[in-house]
Amino acid sequence: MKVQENGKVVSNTGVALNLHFIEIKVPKISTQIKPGNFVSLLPPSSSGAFLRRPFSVAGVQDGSLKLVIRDIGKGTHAITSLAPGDCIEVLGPLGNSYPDFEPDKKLWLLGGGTGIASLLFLHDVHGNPADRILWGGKTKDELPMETWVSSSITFATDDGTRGGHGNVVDVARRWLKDDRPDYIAACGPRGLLKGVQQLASEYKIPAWISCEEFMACGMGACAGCAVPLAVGGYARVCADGPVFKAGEVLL
Amino acid sequence: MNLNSKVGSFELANPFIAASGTYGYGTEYGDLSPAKEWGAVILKSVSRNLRPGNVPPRCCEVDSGMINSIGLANVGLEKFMAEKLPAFAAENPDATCIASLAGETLDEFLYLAENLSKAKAIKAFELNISCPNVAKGGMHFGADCNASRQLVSEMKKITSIPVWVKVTPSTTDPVGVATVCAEAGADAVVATNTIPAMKIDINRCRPVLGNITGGLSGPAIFPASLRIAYMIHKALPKLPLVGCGGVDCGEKAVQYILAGCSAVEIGTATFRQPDTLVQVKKFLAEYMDKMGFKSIEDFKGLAARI
Repeated sequence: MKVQENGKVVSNTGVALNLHFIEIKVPKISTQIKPGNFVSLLPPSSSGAFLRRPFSVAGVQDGSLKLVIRDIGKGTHAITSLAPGDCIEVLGPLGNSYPDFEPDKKLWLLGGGTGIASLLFLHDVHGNPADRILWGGKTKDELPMETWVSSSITFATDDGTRGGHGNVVDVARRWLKDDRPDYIAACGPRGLLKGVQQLASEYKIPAWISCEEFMACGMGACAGCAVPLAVGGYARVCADGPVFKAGEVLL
Repeated sequence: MNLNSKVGSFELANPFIAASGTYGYGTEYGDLSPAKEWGAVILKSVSRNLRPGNVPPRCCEVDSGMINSIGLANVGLEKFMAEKLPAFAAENPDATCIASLAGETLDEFLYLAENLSKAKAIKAFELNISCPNVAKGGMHFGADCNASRQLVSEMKKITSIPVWVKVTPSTTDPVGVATVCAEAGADAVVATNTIPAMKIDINRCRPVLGNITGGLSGPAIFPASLRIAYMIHKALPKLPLVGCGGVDCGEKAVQYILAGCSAVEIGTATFRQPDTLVQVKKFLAEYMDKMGFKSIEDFKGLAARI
């Protein structure tokens, strides 16, 4: 059940250029949240941001949600400026979640930028040691130091300054030369998701992508966050998604 | 303290109404903003046929509000009556429901009203003649006095359900439009709707919205919409009036009532804060207590008597 909860910031750590890991204590929401779900945060009114800001959840620990937030505008600036002990209002869980993948199946989790968030959560929950998780950015400054993330993450940068050289889809393509997952889950910029759609159909690997769109209500009421469907018409990213079967949406 | 209100003969348990297009089909908010807590809820505008809606992006944020260009996306009359209304009624047996009608032509409006008059759950119609986001059926009615007059009078001939007309702020003569609606027998006028607006992405050097322009809503439009409501009430003090536009707190809702409105629609604010209704009701009760008003009638239109 969706809950409006007053959250308390437990920690806020700058881990890379404009990139923050933030933990917010919301006991009611955190017991219900699943990988793929998102929450919407109400930026402090002094920020001048009018609407809530939606974020996929990167994990749960001790009644707190983990979020990965990049400071890109007035709403995210206000949120990434919060200090431990500060309060912020949280609404969730919102949206659908990834399917419950069978524990023995091998997942590849392909994330770009803050799109990594829901995949970190899915990685934790699925927990198959054969899973692979890839986090891509344009350049090394966008990605966090090893100490902040699980050692199982592989990095990739467009300019080759950290990890694999090339975008996430290029690197996944190289992996496919001697490995193959049962399923792919991906989240990130439109280009990455399009690349994953292509890859999944080419190699016939079932894939799920988590989409991003500007949202007003985040609850399925306003139809503002529409994404075109392959069968025609539109789906609402907030309520019908954000997770879709890769071939279902037109990007 | 009595928060009851009447829009003409239409009785509301409180003067607050969920605005069309912001409350989905009435089930989306669930316990976060239950339909039965509102005086009434207006479901998403319905058209004869399914409308997929406009090309995304469909909304963006601006100072003190947002711009939307949803394009009247809706499931169409058949599915509305077969699925959405029954689902709403089953979940919200105690709620008061108003249907918003969106027609491209007079015939389509009449067809919608004829069919929806059979639905027990619907207690009033709001004619959406002020949507800025579709080429037809929006403002070409709302800005044209003759078309508005014909629409309302034809509508009144075929239905006994109260007919409210939601007028546009984008006409030089909103009082004129309200006047012809009143003369044609409208049971109430709703003032107003979103204001046409746009935003440009300076990095991509192009408009943000897929539809280029959309409708501005939120606190940004409150003072402009309030003025129109006030002018309509001044000119037509007997016409039941509903305020709509920019209400995000009790103080703004009270201003609409003082301007002459019997009820106040709330929409965009619920996106930001699903419990806006709770706050607004609380404020209203405290305000009435402080001012010694026993009912909405006690202070409705006071500011227009000066």
